[in-house]
Amino acid sequence: EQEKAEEQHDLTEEEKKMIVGAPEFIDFVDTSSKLVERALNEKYDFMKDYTLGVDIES
Amino acid sequence: MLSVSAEMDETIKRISSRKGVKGIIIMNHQGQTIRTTMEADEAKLYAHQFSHLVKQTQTTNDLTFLRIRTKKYEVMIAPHEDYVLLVVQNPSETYQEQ
Repeated sequence: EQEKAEEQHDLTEEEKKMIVGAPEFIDFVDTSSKLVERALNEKYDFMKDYTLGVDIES
Repeated sequence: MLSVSAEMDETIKRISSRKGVKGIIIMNHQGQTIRTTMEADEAKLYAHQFSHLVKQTQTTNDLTFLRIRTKKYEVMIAPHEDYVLLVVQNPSETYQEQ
């Protein structure tokens, strides 16, 4: 695997402002946040009975 | 014009205040953070790690949602055309009492 050394620069405040103001970004946040919130509403932990004895540091 | 960006902040805040949620990252497909509720360094780490994963998965078909569970955390990844939303949560807190 060629580890591309294209170390991404951090976006500047200017660049971020441009992105955040764009309509497609707003659409994106709208849609994806709904999706995630729905997933977060799922209260059933399907791993529950299988993680007993697994040390989870909380 | 307070509306859109204020509404977005509100959404981000609402998700990040959910029980067990450690943080949110909004990034582009290059793994560059656009918005986050986490420390910049930590966000960068997750962004870097998962942008690679999304890219790989993206080659054959567009990934729409991905949930990864590890001992310590659970990550939800919701990619879109240009951007990706990541939510990192601690499942032991999220699913605690019922």
